[in-house]
Amino acid sequence: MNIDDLKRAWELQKQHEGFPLILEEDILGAIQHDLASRSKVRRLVYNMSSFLFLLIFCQTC
Amino acid sequence: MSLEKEFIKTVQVNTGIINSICRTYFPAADDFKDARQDVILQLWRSFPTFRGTSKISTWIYKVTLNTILTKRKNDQNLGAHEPISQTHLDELSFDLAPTADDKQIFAWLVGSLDDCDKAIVMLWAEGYGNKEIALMLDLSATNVSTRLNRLKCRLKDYYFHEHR
Repeated sequence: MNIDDLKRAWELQKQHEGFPLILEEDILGAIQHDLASRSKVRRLVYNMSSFLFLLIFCQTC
Repeated sequence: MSLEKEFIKTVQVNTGIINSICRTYFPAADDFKDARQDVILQLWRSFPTFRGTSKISTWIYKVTLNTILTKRKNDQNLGAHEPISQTHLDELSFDLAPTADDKQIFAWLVGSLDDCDKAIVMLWAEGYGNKEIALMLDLSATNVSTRLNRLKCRLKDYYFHEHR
């Protein structure tokens, strides 16, 4: 094996059929996970802003 | 085409790259699946920022490698150890057979390198130049060049002197 044969070996490894396929469900699962965590953050920001607004409003009045 | 559909197509076309990188760093089946899920999530989060100024495969390499290297660093900081599964034990006793093919030799050689060197060898094997590798891994071109030369010598030594 020549050192440059490593390039061919890497090419072969990428085409290896033994790897589990990336199914559409796997990808959609990741997308859903991301959307759910973003929605949680949005809700948290909204609640925090509302709370701060009420706090400042009450103090001002 | 919606963003989701475009993303699914992109990931499926580049499955080979994602799988190979994840398997190189995480040979145990469960760790491999976790790592691949993290990579897909990170690719999805970065997908809207891909501007098409480079090849999509280059972008996949960059995001995948950076995600994996960060995960490895975090695992090491947390003191996480790979579970001793049968697969792992088999790998520890793995010795290169005289009839091993190029793919097995490559896996064996790369398996003996540290995380950063693994990434450099994979990118070099993909045909990227020193400057491109440096940009993708946030290293200097000189550092990449030095490491690559040292690696080539080391790999040659391993192969020719110890196993043939």
